[in-house]
Amino acid sequence: MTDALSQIRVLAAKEIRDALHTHTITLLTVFLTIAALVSLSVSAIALRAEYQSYIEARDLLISLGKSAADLVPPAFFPLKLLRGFIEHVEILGAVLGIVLGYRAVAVERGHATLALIFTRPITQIVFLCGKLAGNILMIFAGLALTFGVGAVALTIIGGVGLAGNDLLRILMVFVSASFYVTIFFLLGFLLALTLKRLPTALLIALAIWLSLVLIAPQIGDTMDPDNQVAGGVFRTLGVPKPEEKEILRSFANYETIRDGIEQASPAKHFERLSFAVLGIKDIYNGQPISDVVKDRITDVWWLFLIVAALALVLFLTPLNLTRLIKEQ
Amino acid sequence: MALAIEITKLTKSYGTFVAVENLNLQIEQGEVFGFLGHNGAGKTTTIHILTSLLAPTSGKASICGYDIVDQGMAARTNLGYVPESVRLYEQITAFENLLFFARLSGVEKPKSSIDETLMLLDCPELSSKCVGSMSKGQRQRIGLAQAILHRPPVLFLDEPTAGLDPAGIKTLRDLITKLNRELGMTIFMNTHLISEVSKTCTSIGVLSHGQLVYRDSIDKVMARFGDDQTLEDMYLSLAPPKAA
Amino acid sequence: MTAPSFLQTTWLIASSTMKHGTRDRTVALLAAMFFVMILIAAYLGWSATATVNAIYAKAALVFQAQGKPVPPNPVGETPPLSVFRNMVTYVALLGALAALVLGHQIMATDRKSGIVPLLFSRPARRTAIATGKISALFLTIVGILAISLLVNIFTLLVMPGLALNAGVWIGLLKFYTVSALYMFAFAMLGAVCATRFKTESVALLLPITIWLALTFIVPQVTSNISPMAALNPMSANIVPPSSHFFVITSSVFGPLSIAEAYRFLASTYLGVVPGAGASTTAGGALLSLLVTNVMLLGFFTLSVKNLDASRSEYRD
Repeated sequence: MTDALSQIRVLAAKEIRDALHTHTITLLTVFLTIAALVSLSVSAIALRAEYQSYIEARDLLISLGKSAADLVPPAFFPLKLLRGFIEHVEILGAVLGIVLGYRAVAVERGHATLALIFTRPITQIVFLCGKLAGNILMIFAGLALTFGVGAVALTIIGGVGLAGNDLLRILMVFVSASFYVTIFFLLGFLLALTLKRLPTALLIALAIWLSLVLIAPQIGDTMDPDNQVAGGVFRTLGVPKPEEKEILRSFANYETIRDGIEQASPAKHFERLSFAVLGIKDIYNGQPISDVVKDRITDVWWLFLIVAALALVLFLTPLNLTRLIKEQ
Repeated sequence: MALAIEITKLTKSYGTFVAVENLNLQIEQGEVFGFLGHNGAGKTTTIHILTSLLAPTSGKASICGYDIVDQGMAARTNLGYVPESVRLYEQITAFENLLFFARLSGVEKPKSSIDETLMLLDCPELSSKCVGSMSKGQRQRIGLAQAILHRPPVLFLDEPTAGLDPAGIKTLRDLITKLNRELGMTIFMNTHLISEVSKTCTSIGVLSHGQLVYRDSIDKVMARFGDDQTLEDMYLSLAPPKAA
Repeated sequence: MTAPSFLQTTWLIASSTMKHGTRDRTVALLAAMFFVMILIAAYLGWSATATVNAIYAKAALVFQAQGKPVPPNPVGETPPLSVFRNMVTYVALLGALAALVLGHQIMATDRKSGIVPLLFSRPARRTAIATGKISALFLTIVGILAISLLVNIFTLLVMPGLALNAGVWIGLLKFYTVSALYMFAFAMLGAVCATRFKTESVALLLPITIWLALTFIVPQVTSNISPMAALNPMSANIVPPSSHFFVITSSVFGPLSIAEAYRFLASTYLGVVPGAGASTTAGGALLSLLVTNVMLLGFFTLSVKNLDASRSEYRD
């Protein structure tokens, strides 16, 4: 047992060293951090501009001798500035996961290194565990950098220290982001390990990324019956609320398909959970963490189950050593 | 008649590293020239310059009288090249690969030229085979076919027997001799195998650390070094490899 | 034996590249995915119209029962081409990515197969080889888009209640022209990177990173459009907050922001957003796309000319 554990440790350490030497991984992590930081800064600048417009409008009203009481000042919730940040993790974090998974296999395939590894007293399970441990640690470290920089930037930009509660919320989103990125790591790893050609594996993983992260949520959005006409079908027609509900009832099947497409996307689960925890979605703003989590527990389960399912497939798929060792 | 290959004061350097230094070499038409040297001596760099894949740092070279830099197109029309490991489009057949290269070389009747060439190389059965499913020896032959489709007067072979089994080596040697005798091709062959040279070449040159240290006809080589010294001994005395 | 002419070489390279391209499974896969998305976009367009028609029919009954006047059907009021609004997103995502991979493949296949030394030691000008590769890319992209155009024409013809006139067909052609320009720019980017870099992973991941930055990051810097909203064709209509910051960023990065330029032009031609848009003008956007294409064309030709054929294979 200790043997297996120390073997896993050796394999994982080698993975981390390898990944650190891969420029693409460093490049992508830095890119993600910069994107997240840019998004955060831009949101803050936009908010400031919005506040400036409010001050100008208010001063104008006062100078005209009118009451400014009806004018609502823009609300400032520091965590709400993280919207773009989360969306970048959603889009770019997934790419980082895929590339990590691809790299973990690409360094071994066709270089006959697997032949060397498997002539040592090592089982396939230990080998996979080592690979996974090393790479998942890399995902945690990369995201920790991104979220750490984000939290510091938020403190500086917001001008106020983040409360313990806020930090806890960010920590929770960090953990779910790690699970989310791990899904794509497992996907890239599994495809690179099982498909005949490596470049095909990378492209298929990217195609799945496109469909799950970008296209599925967008289709779900466009299929909303009310979204078909700019400004809303019912408002354009002037249909009253009760009748609207009655008419919509006959589109129930359509709605099920629409929701199904959205549910199929791990990105949507990560987004819904994070937006709720951070209070970016208005109905959750100001709610205690426990209530929010209780309400969004299905999203937590989805993320966890997808990781578990992919890991299970990975461990149950026998490695085709002849193919993996064959020179590409 | 112009020389098949003429190299004058040819130098190629990468920063401070000099791969080929002040090389002078003349090869007559109809020669089978063995270019010997240990690994890293500069043989492949020389072939790359002569086939215009690499620009020389200084000096001149010509193929059949055409300067490789100033008259690159004409020089390339007169040469064929088989790299050390022959790589062709894997997914398509030998015939499709050859058709592509024949057209690219300006062969007027590409299809009949391919048929003739494959007959000449004794492998018409490979025509419809996918390159991806070929053995090393078969690829080598299609690579050779690719290089002689347009019947170039000069043929460059880079380590032609590397990785071939004994039967493959024997066949290739016979083919080289055939191309030289029947088509009158001048052959410039890189190798570090002495056995190669004594069996096929009419003359040799020895390159060491980028410089030509010896050049003579194979008969004179044999006469000079005689029977008491093997070709290997001769080679090592002319071109001692750098201490590891 | 005379060397083949410039045009002969160009044609030879173009035709053989296209022949290999069609046999490459990755390219076929991406093209297939693109077609599926085109069909989905067409279906979504059709389904949206059908849904609104169905809602309208039910609402009309409600109005009649209440004795109120029945308002006109909104389907008749919306520009017919706006049913294809999802196409803007799919061309920007899958179209651009497929083009990028296609561009990568046309050079990477030759480099990986070790064929470059053979190719460059033939009496063929490198500029002719580059022109051949460019022609192959161009024809392939035009081919893919032509099929997609046919699908769209068919969808328009079978969809009920749309007012089709010459303006609609011209709008559709304009949409496809800018889509071809946009996809071609990414194809060239893929080809340039595939030619210049020493390792294939960098040659593939760098242009993907550039694509990600152009699609998701730049729009946020220039117009405060969040990454997910950048996918929505309606965001072409968003006015950036009035701040010196966005005035500066949109004038500095605006001309480089070809993803925004494309979204603006494509959404305008499809009638999704009114032409008088936010910070961009049609002329400026078109100029951005054209200049990017021309620059990349030149850069690619130069890269092929300078490719070191003696070390052309990737190191990874």
